[in-house]
Amino acid sequence: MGIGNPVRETEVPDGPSPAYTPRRSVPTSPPAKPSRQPVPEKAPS
Amino acid sequence: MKTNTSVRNVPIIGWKVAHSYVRLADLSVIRFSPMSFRNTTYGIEDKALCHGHKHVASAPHLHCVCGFNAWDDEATSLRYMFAVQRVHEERLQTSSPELRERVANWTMLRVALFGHVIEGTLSATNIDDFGYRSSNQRVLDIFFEDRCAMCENKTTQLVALETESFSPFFAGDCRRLRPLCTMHLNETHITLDLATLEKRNNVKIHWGYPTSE
Repeated sequence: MGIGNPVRETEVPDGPSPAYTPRRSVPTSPPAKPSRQPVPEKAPS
Repeated sequence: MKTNTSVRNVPIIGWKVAHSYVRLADLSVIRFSPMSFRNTTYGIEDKALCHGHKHVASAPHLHCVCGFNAWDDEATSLRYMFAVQRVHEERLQTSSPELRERVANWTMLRVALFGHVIEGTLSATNIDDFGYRSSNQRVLDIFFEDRCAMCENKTTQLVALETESFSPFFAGDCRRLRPLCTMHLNETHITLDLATLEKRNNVKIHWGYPTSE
């Protein structure tokens, strides 16, 4: 603990705790590919 | 302030790393040995005692490192585990896969901290960023590595086995918990049933360490 920092103490009650849920959501489907715009043909000069 | 009593009416969730073991007398009761101060073990639900300075009535003491230390989140806990693992590997020169079981397969715990809680852990330098020390702790989730302790294969079984240890504490009837693949199971290993362990200890057991993002 850093010198000079106020020490924080508290009383925390017992009780039911929330169940574990992983933070990272596993993707169920592959990400959609970006739609590609057709390249316009170069106008003949 | 993270532990504001005016808004908090449930235990604080903390993350930590430990060695896990069972005793031959009752193979279904999981106990833990901390990464440091390994002569001080604890059970699934326990109250802190200060063995160093005997702050029995008041652990965690303000001017001590006693109490149940836990990190604030799983990311910090993972970083701590990998850092300590690297130190052990370098110290013991056991980077080869054949000896990996000596340093790998620590257990990550998700714990509920309640009672008297002080912000800042044993190794923390900034109380705003890091974990807690508490007087009471209950283990909620246990995470075992999903790789075999002996090779890189996927874990298939949790076993209790007698291992050579850095500490003499694990001598006697203590058997450390190790995840193993089918190839490395043998008749000297005591295989454990995860459903029985979960029910008896009232915890959730997971394969694989949690991800932080």
